[in-house]
Amino acid sequence: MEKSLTMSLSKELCLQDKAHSYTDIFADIFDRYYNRIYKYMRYRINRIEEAEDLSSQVFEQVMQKIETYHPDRGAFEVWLFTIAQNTVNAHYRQRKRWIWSPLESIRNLPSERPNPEAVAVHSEDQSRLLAALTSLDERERNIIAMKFAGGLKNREIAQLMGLSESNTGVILYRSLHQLREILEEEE
Amino acid sequence: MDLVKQFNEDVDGILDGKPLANSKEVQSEYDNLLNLAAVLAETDLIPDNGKKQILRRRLMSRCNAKNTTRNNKEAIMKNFFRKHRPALLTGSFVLVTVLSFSLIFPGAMTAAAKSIGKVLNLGSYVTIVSDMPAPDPSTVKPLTPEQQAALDKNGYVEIVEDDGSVTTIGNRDEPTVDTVNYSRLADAQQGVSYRLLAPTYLPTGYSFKNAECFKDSKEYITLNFQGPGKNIIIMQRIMNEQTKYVTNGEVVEPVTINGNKGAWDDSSLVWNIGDVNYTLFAKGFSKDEIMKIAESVR
Repeated sequence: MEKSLTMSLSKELCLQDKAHSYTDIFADIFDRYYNRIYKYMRYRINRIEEAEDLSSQVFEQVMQKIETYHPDRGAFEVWLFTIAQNTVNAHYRQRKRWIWSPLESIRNLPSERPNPEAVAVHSEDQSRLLAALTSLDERERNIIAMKFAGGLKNREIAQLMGLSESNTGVILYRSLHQLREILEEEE
Repeated sequence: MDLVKQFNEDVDGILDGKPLANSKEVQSEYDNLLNLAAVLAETDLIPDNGKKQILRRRLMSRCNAKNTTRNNKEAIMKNFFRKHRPALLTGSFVLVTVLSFSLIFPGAMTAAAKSIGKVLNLGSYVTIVSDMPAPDPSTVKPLTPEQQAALDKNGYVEIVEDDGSVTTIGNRDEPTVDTVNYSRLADAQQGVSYRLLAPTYLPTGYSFKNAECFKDSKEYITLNFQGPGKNIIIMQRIMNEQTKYVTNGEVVEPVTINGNKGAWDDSSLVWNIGDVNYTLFAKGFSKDEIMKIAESVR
């Protein structure tokens, strides 16, 4: 990794020690963003095994492509979630048959193994929420995932999705409306 | 549209940690939407920590391997010097760049240095040792066919142990390094970060042929000169921690070139000028003639 990029990333990630190695920086990126990427995947995919696999793929790519990141072109998080978004898109392309399954069958798919969240107090609510998300179309789901799992600003989501910032805000509002209706229907 | 704008501002507030102000008994649809936004933001989908840590270890191992690849690149650049030698130095001065081996055999350098009688240092970054044995190829454990098949594009394979720990084994074939060629000596200066020096004296019939550099480094250059006999080659590297090296010669004789300390063996000469290390190969020429060429590099 070039020194200039190392320094830029250290600065952007607010690393205190300026003498960070490539491995240190990657470790910091992993520790800082893994849970967010995982949550993003769960909001978009819901299935634990696939979310884990795709999260892993994202960080593999980050590791391989980190030198293509140019701080001048945008925030690191936008670059990171571009990779996450593309990873999900590639996943969907590969799993067309899965996507075209009836939504109900996806909602009712059991987890492959016990889910750590299942023991949590709000596990039922979480399951309902995740299931309800599957009813949204991919664009709406992606925006919700970027907003509430990725923590991105509308401006950043707009940049990622090729939308205007105001349009992103409108879609987000309508998506939450729709999600709310789905959840109410199920109550 | 103002409602949407307000809603998005309130959502950003939630994401920034601002509390929701829902005190009314009957909540409006707007409040319900904000509540939903808060649930989406706060829903804590905790990944399986065991799997996360295994992935982390695996990626860190890959990261280190990537760093090693970088270091290997440096070693390869140094091996570039070595690669030119067999044709030139079939005699006693078989210089073995051991830095690449030291990546594979940590401590090999120390062990070798202890077993040799004569060590000649040219500054902090160049060491020439007499009669240093080459690493025993039999100590290099070959990859299994499965590991060979699994080598990734960088030449590394990961072996994941049952406990999740990962050992990364590198293919010992050297990755290719892109080179840049210059056909004019005047252009070759672009290839290095330091002031390029070339000999002003060459044996009769010899002239500049080309210069070779590495695309991703401005620390090394090789100048080739052609003439009636074998090519004369002058390899240069700026000396630093990355480029330092140890070579082996059977009979190394200390020499002085324009007041600078150097080493002579057979038809090869190694010396430093300032921060730059020079190695001159001129097979078939007398020591005096080779010294004369070296002394004209200034």
